[in-house]
Amino acid sequence: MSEVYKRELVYLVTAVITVIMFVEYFFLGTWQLAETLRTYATIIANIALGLGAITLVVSHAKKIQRRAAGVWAFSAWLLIFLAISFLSGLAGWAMTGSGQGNPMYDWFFRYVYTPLGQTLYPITGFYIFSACYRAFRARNIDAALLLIAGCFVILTNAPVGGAIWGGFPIIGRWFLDYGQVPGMRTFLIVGAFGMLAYGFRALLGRERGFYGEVAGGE
Amino acid sequence: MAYPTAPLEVLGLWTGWLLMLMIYSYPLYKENIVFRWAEHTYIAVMLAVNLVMMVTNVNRIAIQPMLQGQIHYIIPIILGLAMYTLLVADYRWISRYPIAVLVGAGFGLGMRGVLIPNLLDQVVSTITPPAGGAAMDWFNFIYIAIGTICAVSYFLLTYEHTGALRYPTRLGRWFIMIGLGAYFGNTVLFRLSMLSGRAQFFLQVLKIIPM
Repeated sequence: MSEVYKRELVYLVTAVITVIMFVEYFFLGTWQLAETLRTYATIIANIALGLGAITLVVSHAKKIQRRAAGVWAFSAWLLIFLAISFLSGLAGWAMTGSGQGNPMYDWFFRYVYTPLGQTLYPITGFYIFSACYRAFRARNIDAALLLIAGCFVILTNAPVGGAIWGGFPIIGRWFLDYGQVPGMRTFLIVGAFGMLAYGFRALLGRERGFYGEVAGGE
Repeated sequence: MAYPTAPLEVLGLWTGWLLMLMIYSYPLYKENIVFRWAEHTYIAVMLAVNLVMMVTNVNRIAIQPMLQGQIHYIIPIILGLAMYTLLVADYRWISRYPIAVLVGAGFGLGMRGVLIPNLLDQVVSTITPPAGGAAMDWFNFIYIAIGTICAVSYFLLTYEHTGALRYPTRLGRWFIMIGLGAYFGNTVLFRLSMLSGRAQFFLQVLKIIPM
């Protein structure tokens, strides 16, 4: 019996909700039930975020408890700053109904979160040159084609390309408008087939990794 | 935007500037204490921002409607809380139900979302000839049609790429390489333009260039 509600019923719930989404799209246009289920999924996903927070707090608390060399002080700072910024945001929300209601939280958001986000994402810019060097070595025809297309696109988008030779933007524009289309279109098509195959496996209960069964869940 | 004059705003500007230097000390030098401090600060503040958003969203989407009489919103709240049973080994199986709702909705939306734009529209675009176009339009049409067919044949993984499939798949790989080259070129420039934005911020805070 336990197998029924621990496994089979779970697969059935997945399959039924997937089918409801299909029925809405292909037969009904809009369906209140499907809309409600999507809202439910959004709420669940939001609440589940707390699980990540708990895991992170427990992981860092363990490091502090163990006095892990060279790590625990950072973990302590993380937990302290997390508590300060979260509580200030919560206070702002309690006062105004929006996270952006507390001056301290606003300051953290504007002068810590935003600049750090803007800084961390382009950090890969430092490594892109070495990636260019490795990718753009014409060792065979494949790499040579990659090199040619990449160089033309770079010299098209960078103003210096047009200044060097007027043909760079014209040829580069062709690569952007037509040259890359077969490759990118193929990724869309095979990606769609992959998504359909994976989805049908999940629908039939053959794909079960995301339920935690592989990770040792009962 | 003018250079700020309010003390808290100036302090904020310099805080952002210092944090940026701390982060870039890693790629410019090596992993060090200030980088790790800035990294942990980012993790903390990012998590805090997301948690505040979570509280705001759950309140707006579920709790407020429930308080106004739409009692059925108790279901996703209970299911969301059931996710936390992942932390208790004996009751971990309960978390499969909220996961089932998430996966069902996700796959349902994902599968129906790829059918027309990613599959049908792409195939139709590939086989639709240009209407009375110039020679260049026909060249581009043939290039894209042959290129797409060959590149898709490269992903026929259930057949060995020999015999009739040998040359189409090899040609397909070349078309894919051209696509990846153009994509990589775009990525390089995008990342560099973001990096130049940070360099601009660096100079603006020092008042070397106007804000």
